[in-house]
Amino acid sequence: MSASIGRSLVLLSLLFASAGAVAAFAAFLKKRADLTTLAIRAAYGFAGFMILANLWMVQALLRNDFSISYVAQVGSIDLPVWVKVVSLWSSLEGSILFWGGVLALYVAVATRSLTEAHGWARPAAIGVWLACATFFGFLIAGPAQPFGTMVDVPADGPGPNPLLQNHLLMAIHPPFLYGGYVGMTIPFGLALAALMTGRLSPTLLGTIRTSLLAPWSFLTAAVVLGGWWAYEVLGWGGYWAWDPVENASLLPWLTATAALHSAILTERRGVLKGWTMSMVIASFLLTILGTFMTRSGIFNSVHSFTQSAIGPTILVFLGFATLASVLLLGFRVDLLQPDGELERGASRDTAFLAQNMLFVLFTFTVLIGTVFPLIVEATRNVQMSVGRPYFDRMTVPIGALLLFVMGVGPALPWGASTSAELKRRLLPPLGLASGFLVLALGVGIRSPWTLITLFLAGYAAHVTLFEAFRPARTRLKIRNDGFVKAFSQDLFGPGLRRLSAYVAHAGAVTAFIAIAVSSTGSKSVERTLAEGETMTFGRYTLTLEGIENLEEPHRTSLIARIGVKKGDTVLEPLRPMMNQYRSQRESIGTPAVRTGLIEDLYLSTMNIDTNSRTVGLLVMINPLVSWLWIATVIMTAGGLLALFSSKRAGRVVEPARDLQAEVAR
Amino acid sequence: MKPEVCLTRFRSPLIALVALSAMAGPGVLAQEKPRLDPEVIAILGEPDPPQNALDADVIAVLGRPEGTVPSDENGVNLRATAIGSKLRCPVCQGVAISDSPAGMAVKMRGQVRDLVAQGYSEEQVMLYFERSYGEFVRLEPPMRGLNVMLWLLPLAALAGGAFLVLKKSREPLKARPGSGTAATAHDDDDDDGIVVPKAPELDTALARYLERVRRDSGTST
Amino acid sequence: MNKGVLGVGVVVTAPLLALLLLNIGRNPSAIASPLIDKPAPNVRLKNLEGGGSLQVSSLRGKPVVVNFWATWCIPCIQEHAALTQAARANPDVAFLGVVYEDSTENARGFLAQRGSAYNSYADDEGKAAIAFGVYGVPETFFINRGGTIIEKYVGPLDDDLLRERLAAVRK
Repeated sequence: MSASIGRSLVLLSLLFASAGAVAAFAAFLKKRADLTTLAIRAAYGFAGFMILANLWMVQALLRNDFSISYVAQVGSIDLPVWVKVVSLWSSLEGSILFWGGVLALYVAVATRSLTEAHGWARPAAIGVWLACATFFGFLIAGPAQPFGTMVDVPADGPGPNPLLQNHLLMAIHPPFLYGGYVGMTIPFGLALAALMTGRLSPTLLGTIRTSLLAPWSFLTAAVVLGGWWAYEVLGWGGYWAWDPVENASLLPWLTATAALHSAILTERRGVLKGWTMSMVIASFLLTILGTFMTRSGIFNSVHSFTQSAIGPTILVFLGFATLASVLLLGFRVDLLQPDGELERGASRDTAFLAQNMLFVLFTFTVLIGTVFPLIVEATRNVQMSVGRPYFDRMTVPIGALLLFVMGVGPALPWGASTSAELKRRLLPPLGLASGFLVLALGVGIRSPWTLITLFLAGYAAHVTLFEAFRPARTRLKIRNDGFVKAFSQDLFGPGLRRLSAYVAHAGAVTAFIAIAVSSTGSKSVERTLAEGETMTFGRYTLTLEGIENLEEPHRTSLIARIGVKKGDTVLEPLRPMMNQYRSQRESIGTPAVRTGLIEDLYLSTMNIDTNSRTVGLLVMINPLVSWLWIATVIMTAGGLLALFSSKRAGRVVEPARDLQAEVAR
Repeated sequence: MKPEVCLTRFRSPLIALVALSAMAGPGVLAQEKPRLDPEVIAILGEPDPPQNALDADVIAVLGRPEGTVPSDENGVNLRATAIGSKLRCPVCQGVAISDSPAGMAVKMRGQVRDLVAQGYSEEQVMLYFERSYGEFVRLEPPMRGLNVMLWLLPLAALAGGAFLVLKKSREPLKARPGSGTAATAHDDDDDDGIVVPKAPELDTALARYLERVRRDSGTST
Repeated sequence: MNKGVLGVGVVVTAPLLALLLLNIGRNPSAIASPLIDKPAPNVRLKNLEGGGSLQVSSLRGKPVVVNFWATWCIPCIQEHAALTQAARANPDVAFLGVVYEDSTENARGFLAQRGSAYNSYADDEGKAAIAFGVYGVPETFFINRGGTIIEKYVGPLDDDLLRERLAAVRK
């Protein structure tokens, strides 16, 4: 009964999605406004039922309703409440249902934000969104059905994968990731609509920009949250291993960032329309590729779901979406004529071009590295790996070039300028750049790439701060207001959009610094300690004070209580542990991290022997890692501020008449 | 004693020793120390202490160490960690053995340390593991055959991209009839963040039309 | 129609999609052993009981079966009977067990309880497991008289599977 309610909700959402898609495309092709209204209603219908389906599953998980197949698969009576909610997305079927739910929210909000001002792009976009919704609805109703009826209702379930119960980040990372991934559907639909209508009006472009900002912000947070999760849970002390699934989450972020930037050129100059649309489309296609990589089981990854029939189905959808996109681009992109020209030479336009090129290169490199093992296997029938050493070697120089462009770009003028003017703009930041370099050398950093990165980061930091506060300082000079008043004009006025970009850049520069220093400055040692024994590492003195036992309904843990002293100060003891989950054979370790602004003290247990009362301990000192998390917050804040500013500024003053038709007459 | 003199004086016992080792082969290492002529021992000294069992297999695969023996334990650790970051833990998912807490990874790290301590070079250590686990175990693919594409393709993309960007940024400015309708107000670099909406909100087709009108009527600015 | 855009679009996306399609069904954890048709690693295995050791090369001239196992490995326990019986029925073949990621005490205890027809050896430092390229247990290597590995079998063996392979290893 309970399962059939769930199935009905899913089927209804699928029905509305498919009917709505048909109505929307018909509305576009036949230019019928009544069909548009129908499509809009269907969109809301799809959204409503899909959200209800998700809520139904959550209540089933909370109430331990094992008559539903998914609950029987991942539910368990002895689970904390947050784990029960979180198990909605812990396993394959539930995660597709969750995808549907997030898509429902996005489609509802996006449909609401479209108006008559968008012309026939409105039904076109809704058509694309609902077509995607139809696919996912079909997946949920078919191969990935979570609402199966259990013939023999079990008394209890095994609970979700233990690694997913280890940390609160499990509750946060997937929703953010889905918020990013799924959200790319909206700008994708709008981009296809631009191609279908043959017009990229300023209204439409503005809507695309806005609809790109929300998923971009989510994805920025999600990518790094994933790294943070790996750092806190997996125990090897790093946050990014270039695992195929990690790469999958990064690829659409790279093209989306490119799209956000080239959209600025499109908005200002009316150029690169086709290119911006391509970047938007690529971002969506890469999310589908990413979800295929995660669920197909053909990639060697920590994160892979097991292989299932879903893989090929997603691939078919990817193929179809790619074909439609390539055809639309090939046949319709010439209709998106530029309205102006790029400024030549050493101008900000060129910097934008270079930035886009570098992001595409980055994407291409990561993609090649990720799929290369498949190519080799298909041709030479030999398994090989492309791992961290390769990716680091290739992406570090690209990252440095990006940082260079991020520094030089905003310093360059929009228009043409003299070389004297260029010198005035480009030379001063060298001061802070050199300062960073000197500081780095002074602290003992010797790795060449880290030094280069810090020099470039200093440059970019100067430019970013300078540009961020320039309007305020200009106002100060002109009007003699207080600084706060001058600055708040930016925060609460139309200057917010510009400011948000520099906030995001500030976050990015911080991230570069954190990554450069933490990846080369880590120090570690392995030692076996007996109870009561002490060791020193760096400025820390560590003592194995005792081994504790903790029984929980779903797991037994052995905890090594390590007393920590820094210099002479006694700090909170750290408790790395080995967890034995009821459903797993091998125990899984959880590290203990003392997060600091300068460095993290990272303890991981290799093994805990209760007979001999010894603990094999891995001790690491990781510098500046917490600044990566801080940087991400800043970047995400930048994205959200931009989103907020465009929502506030964005409504079209008057509905655009069909001027093209008027002109044609 | 000078080496040349040493060789000529003790040529026959040396030849005997070499012949003995060559004939005995692995069998020698399998049993106890080779029985050497007391005269040889008297001249050349006791042979090296019995090497551990690893060496039989290692020597069969790698031969003699080609690198240098590290001077102290710190040197061993540094080199071993560097090599460990390039070897894939076969039982984990994609991590290097230096990053994995798994039992086999710990053992492989011990193996790497042993080999490094005996003076084997990085490439030799990698080859030893490749013998057992295949190319899969190398995290950074060696530059042979098809793998060259891993480097060529991104480099080609970089070159192509750079060329495109430079081309677009160097194209001679076409005669700009009044800079079109886009962004006249924005060409100044004092971008104080106020995006003046094009007044009125012009659609692109209208913009082009307006452009033509301006050109035709000669009122371009 | 913009031929350039179409061309780039097809060139970039078609190979990628084709590649992914071809790889459906690929199992990334099934790694082929590079040791097939290569000489068996000549490692030294320590006896479980008492001192002493065995050098693998000393077995040259007989077919050899090397079985990696552990007491925590259920399929290993399942195949133990089949292996014991095969060892008894084929005295011309040398059977060896190697303990993988497990303690000597556990192994001794298991063998004392279940009996065995051939020796098992300890591999505390994992050198034998590494040399043979072992990913997990059970894994069994079939070596011919000349000392060449002719097959690596991953998973538990049964009587039929063993019979086939023993016939092959004798050739």
